[in-house]
Order: sequence, then structure tokens, then C-alpha cells
Amino acid sequence: MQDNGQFAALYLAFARTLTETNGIKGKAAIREAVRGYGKRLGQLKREQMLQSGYKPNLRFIMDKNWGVPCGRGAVREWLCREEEELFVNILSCPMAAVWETEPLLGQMYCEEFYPAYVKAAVSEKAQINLGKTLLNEGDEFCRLSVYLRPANLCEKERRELFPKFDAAFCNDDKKPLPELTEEVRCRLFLEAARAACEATGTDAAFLHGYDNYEGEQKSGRYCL
Amino acid sequence: MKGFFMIKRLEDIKLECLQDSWVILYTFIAKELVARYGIEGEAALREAVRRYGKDRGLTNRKRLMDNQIKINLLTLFQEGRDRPGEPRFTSKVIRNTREERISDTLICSFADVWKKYDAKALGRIYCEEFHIACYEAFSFGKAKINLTRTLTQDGDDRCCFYHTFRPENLTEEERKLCFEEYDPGYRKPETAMPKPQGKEGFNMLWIKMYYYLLECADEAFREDGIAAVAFGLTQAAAAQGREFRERAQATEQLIDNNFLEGHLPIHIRPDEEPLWETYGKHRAKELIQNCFLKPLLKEVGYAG
Repeated sequence: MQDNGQFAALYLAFARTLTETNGIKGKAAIREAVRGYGKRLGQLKREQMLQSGYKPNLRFIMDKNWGVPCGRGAVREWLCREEEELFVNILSCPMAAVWETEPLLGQMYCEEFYPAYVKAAVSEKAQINLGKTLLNEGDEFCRLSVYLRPANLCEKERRELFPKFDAAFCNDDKKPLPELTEEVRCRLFLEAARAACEATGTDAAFLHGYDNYEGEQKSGRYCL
Repeated sequence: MKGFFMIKRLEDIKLECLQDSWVILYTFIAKELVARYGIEGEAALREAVRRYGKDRGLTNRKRLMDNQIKINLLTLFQEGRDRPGEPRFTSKVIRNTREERISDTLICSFADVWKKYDAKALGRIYCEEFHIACYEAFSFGKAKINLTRTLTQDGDDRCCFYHTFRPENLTEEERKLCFEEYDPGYRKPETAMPKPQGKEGFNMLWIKMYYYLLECADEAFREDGIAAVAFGLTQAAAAQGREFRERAQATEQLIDNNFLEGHLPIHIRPDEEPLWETYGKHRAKELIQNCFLKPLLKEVGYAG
């Protein structure tokens, strides 16, 4: 299974189980899990950007498999990738390919993930717009438009996020940003899924089977 | 038959003027705030648009709930629509259910006014802030509002809206207020709820937009901010006057009481304006009288 296939299968197994056994409470747990995952991933990305000498604005949050959930294997059309604006069309998505038999479950993921991830990685004041999705009937690609306006930030936030507001910032001291691996992705999602089930009072007994992520990966447990 | 179409066109022209008027107001006050205060002016402008949007969202939600209408994306764009229609606006609704609204706006008179006055960037600000503020306020903060392309963005040929509102994201109480299946015993109202039409609707939009621009300018910049709004009002009055003269000339009308009554969203005698009671702080009424109405009436040669 290609990279991202494990994660896509994990998510689908989780989402299916919860909707089959818990109705609307299960759906609430799924969305909460995705938000929790997006938040964890965003916080991790933010830490890494800061440690590597980058300002945590929109410019690098989707690089190296981060952010755009499809990661490697996706076909993207970048329209704008700047500090304040990010516009991208996703023309083909390996996750959508896994989820196409259950488009509503896949759409849940896309609806919840982007706002949670970007707000955690960058700022609560970022504006995230997901206008089309491959899983939505009639759409031929996903379209994401994100804005981070300095005018919506206080002075301290502007300095933290944008080099042009930070006279002391040195643009040269940058280390390469790490790539996001499937292992980290799945581990963070399982953490968030457990927390979401606990928060929503949803039965999460089936998640015990995923305690040992590495073992499951080798056995291909997440394969459909 | 011919007489009917001519009258309809004159009525349509009134709607166009009523619609354009508050966009002109926004444009010239916004220009002054940003020119005078740079990024802090933009911050005040964005906050004003958010407050304006939130006011409209909450007002519409209350209006629907008072009339026992459920709160969801279908009712938001039907009974909840408070901006009156006008003939130029063209959109294509792709899907509108209680949980989803997907639509493209192909012609937007707001965007056309902003382009006319070289204010596309200021229009962008409105687009970015208004819809989120208004629709989130309407939906208990739970709808997801997406606007991925806009006519005020270079390179875009339409506005693309995609909003979602999921029952599983609501509390039990909210679900009951929003979706019939969670409210056993609910009966839909049998009579249609009245909603703002024509001048009444545009009057509300005009005064609320003006008020929040003034409020935010006052909070951020005090007397100097009020002076900035005052200057913006005089500029708006001049532009408005030119628009009226062009329209009147094109349709061979005099700019008299009847004309102003039909084409201007606000009363030319401020004492007759009921909304000042709620939206009258920060010397709102006085500024309108001195900085907008007086110069406007002079510009169009109105003798009274």
C-alpha cells in the first residue's frame, strides 16, 4: 500500500466503526477526533518551524507532506503560496481514492481537518476556506484558500508570524524542515481518536487493537 | 404591456441605487480609514465589518426563532435573507439543503461598485470578514463558512461559496432548534414570515454598516477617527450625488422628494429615521446630517 494508504485505511476503519455503532454520537466523535488530530499535527508543525528558524505563517505549512492531507502521491496546482495567502487546487488525492466508497466519511475529515490544522500551526485568526472537494459530487478537484491578515493580529502576533514586522529576525539561520511520516500521522490520529471517544462518551474499545502501531503496520492491519 | 415593463425598469433602477448606496458609503469611509491609519485602519475596518455581520446574523436568527422557524442553511437563505434582491446580482445555486449550501456568484454589484471606485482591495476585506461573521452568528457559531474564490480577487471570475452545517457538531439543544427531526411535536408555521424588502431592507443595511464603521473608528482613533469617518461621508455624498444625477438624467427625472424617497436608503430628515434610536451613539445622527445629507442635497441641487 502506498504512503498515506495506511493512514487513509486507519481513518476509514475508525469512522466506519463509530458510525455503525454509535449513530450521531459516533459522527460527533469522528469530527472531534479529526479536529484533535489536526490540532496536534498543527502544534507539532509550529514547533518544528520555530525550531528550524522559520516564522509560522502560511508559506511553509503545507510543505513536506504536512497540511495537505494527501501528502505524497497527490497532484496539486499551486496558485499562491505566500506568507499571507495560500491558494491550491488538489487535482488528485490518494486518500480520496481510498475513501471514495464512503464519500461522506471522507468529507467529514476534510471539513474538520484544515481549520484545526492551520489554526494550530499558524494562528486562531487564520481564515480557512475549503470550497470544493474531490469527494463532493460534481467537484473535479479540491480547492483550498487560506488567509492570514496582519491587520487581524495584534502587534505581538504580527512580530511572531511575519519577518517584515520583526526587525530582529534573521532569515539566514534556517534548518531544513522535516518530512511528515506515516508513522507520526497515524500515532497522532490514534491519540486524538482516543481522546475524542472519551470526551464524547463513545465506546472506544475497538481502539485497543491499535495500541501497537508499528506491529499493526507490519501486519497490514489497516488494509481494507 | 409596454407600460408595465417601463414601470418595472424604473422600480429596478431604484433597487440598484438603494443597493449601490451603502456600498458607496462603505467604500469611501474605508478608503479614508486605511489611507489615514494604514494597517490599524484596516484592523478597525475589518472589525467593523465583523460587527456588522454579527449584528445581521443575530438579528436574523432571532427573527426566525421568534417565528418558530428552524435555524439551518436552508432557512438562512430563504426566510433568513435580509438583503433585498436587485436585478443585477446573478448567482447559480448548485445545492442548498439544511446542511449544505454551494453556490457561485457570477455577477455581484458590490464588486462592480468597488471596481468602479478603484477599491477592489477594500471590497476583498468585506468579502473576507462579512460572511464568516454573519453566518457563524446565525448558526450558533457552528456552520463552516467557505469562500474560496471572489470577484474581488485578481484572477477569479466568480465567488465560490461552500457552507456546511452538521447536526453532529451541535449540542442537543441546538439540534432541536435547527433540525425538525430532533424536535418532536414541532409544527411548521402556516403563515409566511414577513421579511425586509426594498427600501426598508437597504435602510437597515446602510445604517448598520455606517454605525459600525463609526463605532470602530471612534474606539480605535477617538476624535480623529470620527473626523476620518466624517471626511469619508462627504466623499461618499459627492459620489452618491453624481450617481443620482446620472440616473435622473438618464431617465429624465427631477431629483425631488419622490426621487430621493425612492432611491436613497435613509430619510433625508434624520428625525424621521427610527433606527437612530438603536444606532445613534458616537454622534451618528449629527454626522449624517452635516457630512452626508447636507452635501448630498447640495450636490443634486435639491431645494427642499
